[in-house]
Amino acid sequence: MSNFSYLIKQGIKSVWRNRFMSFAGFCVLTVSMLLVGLSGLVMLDCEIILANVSDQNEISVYLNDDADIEKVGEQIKSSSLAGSVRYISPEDGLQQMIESYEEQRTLFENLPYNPVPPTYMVTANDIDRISELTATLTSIDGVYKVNAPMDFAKFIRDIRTAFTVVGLVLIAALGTVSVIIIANTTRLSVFARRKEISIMRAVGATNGFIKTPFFVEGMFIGLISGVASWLLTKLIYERIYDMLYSGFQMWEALGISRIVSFDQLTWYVLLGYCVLGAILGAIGTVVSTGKYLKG
Amino acid sequence: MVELKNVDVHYKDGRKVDALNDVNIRIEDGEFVFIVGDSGAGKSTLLKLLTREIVPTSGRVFVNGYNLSKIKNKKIPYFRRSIGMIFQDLRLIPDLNVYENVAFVLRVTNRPKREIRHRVPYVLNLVKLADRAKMFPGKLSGGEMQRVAIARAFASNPGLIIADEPTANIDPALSYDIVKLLKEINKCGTTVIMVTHEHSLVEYFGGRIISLKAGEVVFDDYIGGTAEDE
Repeated sequence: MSNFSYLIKQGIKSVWRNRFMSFAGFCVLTVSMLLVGLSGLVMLDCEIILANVSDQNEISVYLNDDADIEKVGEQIKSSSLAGSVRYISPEDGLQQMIESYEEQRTLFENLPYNPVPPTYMVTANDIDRISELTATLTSIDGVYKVNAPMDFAKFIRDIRTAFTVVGLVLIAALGTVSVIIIANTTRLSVFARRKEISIMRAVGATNGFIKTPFFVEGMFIGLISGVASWLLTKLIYERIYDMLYSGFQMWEALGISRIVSFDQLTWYVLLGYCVLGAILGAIGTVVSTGKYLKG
Repeated sequence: MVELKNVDVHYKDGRKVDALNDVNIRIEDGEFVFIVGDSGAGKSTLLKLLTREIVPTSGRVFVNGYNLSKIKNKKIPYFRRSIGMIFQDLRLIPDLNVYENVAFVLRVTNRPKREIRHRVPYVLNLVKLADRAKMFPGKLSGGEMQRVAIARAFASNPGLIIADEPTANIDPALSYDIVKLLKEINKCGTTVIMVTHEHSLVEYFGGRIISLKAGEVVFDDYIGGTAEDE
């Protein structure tokens, strides 16, 4: 048996030897990563939804009757902050108004003149810079008024910030709990193997050699927890996804494209969980062995 | 070679304790030395110095060419590979069999597999435990377990073996066999330092005796043993 396989075997044996504590570590790590992962997916979905909502979030740019429509349109498009630019002629604008207020159709149709000015509908590339875009649009010659839904933009920004803050706090809190649990599991392993460790030190094993099985143990628990978290996330997320899309077309009605499906992300999620699990396991090991295997 | 020059060890455990005072010892390669003394004489402190578990408060300690007063932490494992340690409580690993217990020290010091395959049967043969290779420590007698501990200490062919009360937990009759075994290993050229409080053993085997009392060397000379008369 080579030294490497010996160290790996010792690490895995240790998981079994401290199976109750290993199981506790596995459970806490799995639940923590599951919550972190689900939060991450919700945040990702929120980003997608918010991006969609932002696309719907159009700024109305009203032009003077005598404005050079094409020239203004080019100036709007030349702004890097502007996304899509759509022109609505006074005739189309009136038609839309009539369709929106069907009961007042007669009133609109009998107006002596068309009150709707030539209009450009502009979406912001970056919702955080909507006020900057509004200022740019207002300064264009031929524009007499710009209507930007600033409150809506703020609302969207606030939601995104809240999700980011909650997500990060969750990641920090659960990450810390996981590290503490793994550290305690490793500490028990160190205690269970104290005789072996004392012999190792006495005969001249290096600290790296002594610590490796504990690293293997921590990382092994982390990896198994990663796979378990991935399976649970798949089950939960697919259930939620199916619920959202069965029976009604709420998202399409709101003009929002579908949230991301788990199949699109499955390998990234698995890899992310395994890497996160292994890192948390390794950090837990460093915390405990660093303290107990000094010198 | 083992050399302690003007070594003092003071502990501060609430009050100042002088564990060793101005100790000067020189042990040449290939010697067999008994270290004797009552409880609190400083024997354990001396062993801890020799294995670099502690550093002296003042003075210098040299073992196998290493200056233990100045050795860097990274070098300590490599120094310890040059000594074989026999613990008073044996410290055999219960879930490893005799062969694996002996092979363990070679494995953790990255010895090649081929060397392990040759060396372990050789030392087990030397301590007359070849037929017990696959047994677990729990199934062995006290004397056999002590011989496994000796085989383990000798497995890496160290220049120095330090035995901390190796006969403390076994039948007095078997104690003589254990010392004889250590004497045989000594004949292979390995320096042996054996700490004991059993004066009968020391008187029987004789040789160089270092006696400690209250942290000081009070006797360091050769005596003739009764074994020589037999």
